[in-house]
Amino acid sequence: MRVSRLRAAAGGAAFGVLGTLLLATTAQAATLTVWWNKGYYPSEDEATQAVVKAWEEKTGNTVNLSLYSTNNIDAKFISAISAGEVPDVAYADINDFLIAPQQAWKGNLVDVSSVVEPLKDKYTKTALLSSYLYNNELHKRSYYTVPLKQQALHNFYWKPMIKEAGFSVKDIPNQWNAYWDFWGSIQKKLRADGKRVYALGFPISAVGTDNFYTFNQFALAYGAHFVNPDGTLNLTPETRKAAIATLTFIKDKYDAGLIPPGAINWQDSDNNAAFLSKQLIMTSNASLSIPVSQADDQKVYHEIGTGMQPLGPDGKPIKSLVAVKVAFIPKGAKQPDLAKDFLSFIAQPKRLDGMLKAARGRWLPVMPELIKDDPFWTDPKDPHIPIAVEQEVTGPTAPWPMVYNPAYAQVNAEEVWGKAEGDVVNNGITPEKAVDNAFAQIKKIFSQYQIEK
Amino acid sequence: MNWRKSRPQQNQAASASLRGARLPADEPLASHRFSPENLWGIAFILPYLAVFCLFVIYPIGYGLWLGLRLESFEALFSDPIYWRTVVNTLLLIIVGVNLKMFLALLLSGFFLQRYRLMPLLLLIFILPWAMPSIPTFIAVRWLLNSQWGLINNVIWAGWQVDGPGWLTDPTLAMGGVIVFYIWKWLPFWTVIFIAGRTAIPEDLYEAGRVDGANKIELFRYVTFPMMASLYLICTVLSMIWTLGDYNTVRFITGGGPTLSTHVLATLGIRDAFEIGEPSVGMAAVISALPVLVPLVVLLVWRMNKERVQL
Repeated sequence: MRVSRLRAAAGGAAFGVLGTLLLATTAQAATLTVWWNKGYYPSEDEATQAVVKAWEEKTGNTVNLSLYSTNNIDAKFISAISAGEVPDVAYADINDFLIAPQQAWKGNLVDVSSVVEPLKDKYTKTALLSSYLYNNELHKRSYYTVPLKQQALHNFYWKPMIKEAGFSVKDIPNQWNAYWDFWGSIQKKLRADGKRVYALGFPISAVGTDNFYTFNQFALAYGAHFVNPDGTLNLTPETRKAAIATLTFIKDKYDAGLIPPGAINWQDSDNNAAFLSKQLIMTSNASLSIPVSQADDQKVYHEIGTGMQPLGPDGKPIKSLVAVKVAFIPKGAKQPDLAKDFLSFIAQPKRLDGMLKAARGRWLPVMPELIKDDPFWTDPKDPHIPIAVEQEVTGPTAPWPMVYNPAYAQVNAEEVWGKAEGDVVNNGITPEKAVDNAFAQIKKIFSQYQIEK
Repeated sequence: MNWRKSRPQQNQAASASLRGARLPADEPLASHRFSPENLWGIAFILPYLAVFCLFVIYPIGYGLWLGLRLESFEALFSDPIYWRTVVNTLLLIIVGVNLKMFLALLLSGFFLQRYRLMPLLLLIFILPWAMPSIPTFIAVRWLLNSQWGLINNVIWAGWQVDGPGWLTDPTLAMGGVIVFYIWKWLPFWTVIFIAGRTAIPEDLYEAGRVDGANKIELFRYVTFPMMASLYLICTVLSMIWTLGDYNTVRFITGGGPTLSTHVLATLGIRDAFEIGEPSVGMAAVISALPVLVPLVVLLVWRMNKERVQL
């Protein structure tokens, strides 16, 4: 009797242990929902899927990965956050521009300091600043996003057009005015031969992101700092003067017929298309998307030149306005701890490097050690990537103003500067008046985003 | 048959039969409500009600809840581009829709003429409508592009001058939206009116001809009166659809230049998802209700009236 009771007890205990183990295993295997921006090339998506698979194998969890196109993803994220049905991890190429600063402000993002802090020494200062956002619910700043990659505005030109006009790449000046006039002189010569080309492909519309990237980079070159690092507005007379100078610079080029008239209604892809169809001699564009899209045709890839920014109007080097592409965990995510683990996994230098190379170098690393460790980024035979690296990773950089105050993200979203450009070149408004109108709108937007000191 | 006239008689008969049919004296009314027939009826109607609540009541209610906030309307009305957007929307639904419907009415007569190549011509004419709207409008955008568009390239090739800024001049851009909106939807309404015209008895035209009516008089005194109800219903319906039309503006002008060609549908999406203020976006859409609701009421009233005449 006693033996049988002991057997029964032992059997029960074993069953219990096995059952507990089974339950524990079942409980550990969780599903993480990840929404990710679809890449421009199949290799980008494959790299994302490979990292996801590696994490699944390491942790035993599964990932429900959804890839959304760039055109839909902002609406998807904003709808999800508004409805409270959010994924565990969200990455979009425009998170930094239009989503993360505002959502961090509203307290809709999970603090990811535990992901960023261990990697702090590896990131550039600009990348770290770009993730250090203000939460208006808690009235403090913290890391609410994880930096993955970055972009800056680069100048691209057609080498054969320069040659056709009787110049060489070495003739491109380094001084501000001479640099821009150089492209005008090429246009003049090519037009004299009956070619319908424009010197400068500046996006100056009120749609998309390229236009405000171009304007803000030029404004920075003229010394405009619209927002102080503490998040307060800096609309001083000096800033006004710099903004007027920027609009005047654009208006002069437009009036001189150097910028295509259609540029005031360009969408993001339009300057790419105009440049690649050889209707532009040069264009400014964020990221290396223009040359990289031609990587399969090495002849064209090498016919396109990527140039360093000229010295600023004051003769000093210009800081590159760097947009850091970030992932975040929305508040309400079902698996926030697993999401942090996933982001820590993906943010490891080697994994980021693999993903960036899969994008053919379109985006650049946020960790300088990748540049040192991987010759891909410094290959002197490549006509684009090392120059871009020199400009936006090792050169002087600045974060976007919305990092300091999310109100500036709304300034961009409302296309305040795009509208000012349109008013100046198309509606007969003076640069002074356009800047005053823009400042009035900016002040109104900032009044809704007061940061406590 | 005028069924509405006959309906009171049917109702009277039904009422009489109900009055005659007595419930058992000891059976309470509640038990009759839960009779097997009623329960089956409820069971059959429940899935429809659930779907209706889930996919109609909830989204509309949620949208209204999102948009009906005073601060959303304050933000919307203080947006410098809102009133311009209202004017554009009215231009599209008043000028665009009416011009389109009138042209469709005229063209429906043209396509009913008995020429050998007319079916082929109709086939070609229908193509813009038959093609999916997004690639069609993207093609239009490229056609109108100032630099590499077909029209201005032809002008450059011929005269070495830059053509008009079709998409860079606000007036030309809004005009382009209206023209290509008409071009896209004209075939659909033309086909509807062709169907309407074929339902007009030929006897009426013959009688008109016997009375010495010419073609214009036949149109004025036979076609138009017979088509009037269909024309009005189609116009109202088209106005309702056009109020929600997003693709035309989005893919031809993108709302530009300088945000001057937005309509309420595109402004709502811009506010909700580009600026990230869903409540302001909903407010933009809700602000169309003062136009939309009367149109829907007119449509329902008119359709109800038409049913009486059949």
